[in-house]
Amino acid sequence: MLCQHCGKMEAEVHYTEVVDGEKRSEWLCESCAAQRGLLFPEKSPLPAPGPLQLKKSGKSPIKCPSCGMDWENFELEGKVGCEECYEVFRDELDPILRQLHRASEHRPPKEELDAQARLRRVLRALSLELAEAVRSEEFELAAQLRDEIRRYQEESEVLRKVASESDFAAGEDDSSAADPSGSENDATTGEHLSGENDPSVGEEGR
Amino acid sequence: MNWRERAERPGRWWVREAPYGDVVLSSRVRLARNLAGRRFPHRLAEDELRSLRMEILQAARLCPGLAQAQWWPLEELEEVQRRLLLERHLVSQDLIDRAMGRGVLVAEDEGSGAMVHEEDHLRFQAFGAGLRLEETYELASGLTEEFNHHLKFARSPRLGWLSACPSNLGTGLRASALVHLPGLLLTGDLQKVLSSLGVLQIAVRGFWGEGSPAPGALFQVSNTITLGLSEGQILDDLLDHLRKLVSVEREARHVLQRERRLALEDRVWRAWGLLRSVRLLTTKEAFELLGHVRLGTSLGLLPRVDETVLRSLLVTVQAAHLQLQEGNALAPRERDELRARQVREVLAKATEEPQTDPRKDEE
Repeated sequence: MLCQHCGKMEAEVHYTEVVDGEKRSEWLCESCAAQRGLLFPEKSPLPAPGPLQLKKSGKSPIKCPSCGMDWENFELEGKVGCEECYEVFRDELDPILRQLHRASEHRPPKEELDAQARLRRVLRALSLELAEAVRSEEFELAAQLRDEIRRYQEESEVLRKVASESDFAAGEDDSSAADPSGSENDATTGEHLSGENDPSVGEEGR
Repeated sequence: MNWRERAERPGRWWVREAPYGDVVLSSRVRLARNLAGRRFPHRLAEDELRSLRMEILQAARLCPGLAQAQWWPLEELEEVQRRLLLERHLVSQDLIDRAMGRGVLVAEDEGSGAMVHEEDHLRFQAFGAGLRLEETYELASGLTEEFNHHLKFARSPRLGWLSACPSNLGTGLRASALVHLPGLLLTGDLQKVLSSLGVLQIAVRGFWGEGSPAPGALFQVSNTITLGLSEGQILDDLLDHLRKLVSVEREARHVLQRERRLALEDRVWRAWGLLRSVRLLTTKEAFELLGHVRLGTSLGLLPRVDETVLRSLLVTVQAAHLQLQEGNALAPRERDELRARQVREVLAKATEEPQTDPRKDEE
């Protein structure tokens, strides 16, 4: 059949969509489909991650004692039933985690959880925005960003004072995983705002 | 605020200043968390879902960031109201499909909140206009920390935060940006760029999420890896990719301007003319034409229209929005008619007014 859009070329792409609850479908040729942007993936262009893609891994007879889920349930639903399942089905899940995340454990090289590091990240983001605002001549936005940056800088000053007054800064954050820091907490001074990159942050883990 | 008022304009966060706004419409961060010692939502019966939902709500009310939030148990909403929340990206399709025992918390500016009993007990979320992933992350992360003082989250030393689906393990972090890529679409480079993102473990989806179409060259770009990296690394990686995406999109627009100027002008002016005169307009066509007009205004080819006017229309012309504005159910054709009228009127108003300062909203 011919393309329902141009009526000239052979139709190759069948496009169905639901608009406002109404289903509409059309046959389009490749070039009309491309023009409408229909040819690129509507889902992720990744090989869809997720358990649905897995080949059946041979029935595991185990059941989770805590929630009663068995492996067949998982293969159907793609979800585990409770936190215990992660231990019960550890061997079965391990290859799945590798496929999804290229890792099977959560051991990030270096957590940046302390307050200073967090401020530093926000400051870096804001300074990029500032550079962008100046570049695109949005001066009012730039002024707002500058004020915001000052506020964060003041906050950062306060934190730094606190940290240097007591040499035991690690205990100040009660969010469990506080990372004893202080080695590179000098990153929030003004000159970092002028450049695009703050060389002191975030590169080591790549 | 009643539903009619809500449907007339987007959430306040959506019209704030948008860094990189010519390409990036918005940033979103979702953090998946589950409560320690409880089965995950899909393994809970209806009464268990409801009682746990109460506990979650009570804890949320003790958190400064959620104390004032609007709370909706989803099964108590009308279908069209649930659709409105979906159209604003405040809930997922999954959440409204199940509805029973589910809920959503939405801050007053709609810039943060949490879904309750989606795939996980909690999906904290935050939104920002333009490219603001890091601030947006801090907002969402702040909510999880506040909440964790009242109810403990499931966490394992080996796997980090535990989620119902293994694809969210570790950090539970999904950061995404809604990007507008008409330049790459028109130069024909889009497919190439998107599949290279795929190789880098960055997912690209349509406007309304997984499996949805991408009208108007609007895409959601998000991380897929959540385990084994720190939150900061995930955000940094995604930001790097997004900045590259912004620069190749801008470059594509400049190429079009240099090499296909007449065709480009024709396209954007045609869209402009259509939007100012149509009498029937589907959602898809509205998005496509608004996308072209956005492209035209960003390159200075069309009369100046405040970017927030165009960005608001992308929200308010959607089906549930129109029906709630009207206060009754509308047949598709009636919606198309109403949509066309709204767009014509808004654009007429936006071009007749002298350009005053559009940024009254901040603070």
